[in-house]
Amino acid sequence: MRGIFTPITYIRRQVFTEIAKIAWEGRDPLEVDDIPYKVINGEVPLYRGSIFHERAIVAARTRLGLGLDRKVNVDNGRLSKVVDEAVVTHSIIKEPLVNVIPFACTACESSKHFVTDNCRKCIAHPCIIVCPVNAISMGKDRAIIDKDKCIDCGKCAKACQYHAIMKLERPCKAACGVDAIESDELGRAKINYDKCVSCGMCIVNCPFAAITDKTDIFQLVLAIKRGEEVHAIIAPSFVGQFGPFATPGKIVKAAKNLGFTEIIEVALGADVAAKHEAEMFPQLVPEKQPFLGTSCCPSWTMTAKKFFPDLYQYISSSNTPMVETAKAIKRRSPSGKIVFIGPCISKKIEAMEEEVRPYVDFVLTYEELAAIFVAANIDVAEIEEDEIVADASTKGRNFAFASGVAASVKASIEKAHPDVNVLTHNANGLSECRKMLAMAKAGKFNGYLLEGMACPGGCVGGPGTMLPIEKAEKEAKDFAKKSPYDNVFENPLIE
Amino acid sequence: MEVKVKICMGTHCTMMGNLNLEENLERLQSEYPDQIEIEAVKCLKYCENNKAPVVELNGKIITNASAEIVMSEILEVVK
Repeated sequence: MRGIFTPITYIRRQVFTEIAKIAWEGRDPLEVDDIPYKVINGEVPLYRGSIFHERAIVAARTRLGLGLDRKVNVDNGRLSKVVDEAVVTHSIIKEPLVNVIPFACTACESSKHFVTDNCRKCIAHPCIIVCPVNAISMGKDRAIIDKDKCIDCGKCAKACQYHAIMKLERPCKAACGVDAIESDELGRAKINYDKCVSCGMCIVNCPFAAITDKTDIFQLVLAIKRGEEVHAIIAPSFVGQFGPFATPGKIVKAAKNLGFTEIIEVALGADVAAKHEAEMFPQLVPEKQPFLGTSCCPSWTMTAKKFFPDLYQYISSSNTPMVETAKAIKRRSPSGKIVFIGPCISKKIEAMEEEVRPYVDFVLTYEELAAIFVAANIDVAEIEEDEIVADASTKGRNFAFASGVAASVKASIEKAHPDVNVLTHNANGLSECRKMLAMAKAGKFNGYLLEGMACPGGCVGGPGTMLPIEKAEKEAKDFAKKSPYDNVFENPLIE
Repeated sequence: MEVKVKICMGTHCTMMGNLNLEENLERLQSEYPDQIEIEAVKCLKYCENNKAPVVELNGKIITNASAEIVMSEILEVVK
């Protein structure tokens, strides 16, 4: 579904825009109760059986969009009753970040083989013959699979020459690389938070928009409107995200027009991290540890921590580019607040960490920033000035896409230590990341630098992006080439 | 017949799907290379009151231009 703009994304961005508008226009926060009526207006339901159901779902999305916790049934109430909690100028997001709105979930079968109309009741019926658990019998119109017996092995589907047997898997579960999607007592999706690493792939893959995360939109806009000093740092995948006319320089200028004090490339922090890893790698690998894992993707590092706790120690101790960049700003502007703008929702979790919170006050995705631009009537394409953006090297900017991090860190290590030859391997998508860790555990990657990225394609494929992935990778690469510096050692902004 | 499609790439329409629409249309264009012309343009000024995204198709403005609407209108003309 990714790459196609559907009503799911439309509604999500409408809700973000309405939230941002209330804060931007300084309207009464109690107006949050109107959002469901603005998004779902008219008399007839747009997508589901009942317009009231649709509005209830939008209300739940709004609640989470305001940064508030999801509530169940009796506690749900009107949003205006609790909106006071959201009228602050600091992030209020608490875990869990990723939430299923249960009454929006249509309880898709979690995994099931079933027989379609293609079945011809053939004489051969290989499906019945190959089934190892005797789950299939011939019914009146077609073969029938006994759900209680079926073990979902798929042998019947492979055997059928009419392709009459399909596997139906719930899209959230198929998108989840850490098997965190389970079912509640009504069969609706339920997230196992012991496993979830907040990558957000279920959010962008659910065809019923039943899963959503929390945002800092409201609090950030209030902070800007109240004149607080807010510095923005923007991830290297930002290029092209706001359309073909929105050059990096215009995006920076637009963000300043919005009220940010400045906007700095997070690729600067990527440079710092690459330099740190250039120092660490030869000291550690292979003598003290078998491999070094990159540290920039929080969902990847959480996956290592939760699923391979004994390997977690081999993830680089380098700060993430977000933290490095934020620290650099806090050193010179200690009183300013910092918002990270990126493709990523797991950065929201990272920002909540005790050692990160003092540096990163808010996290926004590109689509959330776009909603704020729209609320503030700022059209990035119409900005005339094109500011110079030159905070980071080509290699730092290459952190935006899969394999770019490993390549940049390898180049950095080999630059600093010409005698060292670094082997690299990369995985994108959490299921691939887990396979890579399993192989590392088996000793297949001794001496390696391992890059893990939770999102397919790397950061350019993040859940908060707007530009289709292939184009976003191209844009990021082209912009990286335009940096005046090839690598961190040439970047004058880094001591 | 030929179709000239102007895709609005103001921030509002960009956010409301026109980046994806552009890609969908580029794929469609590869099926009808001589008949479809795509141009990204700055704000067409029709996006207020939840009318984004906006597309202009042979001079005709389409508001709330979902991919399914735009693709079917184009196919009406080209086929």
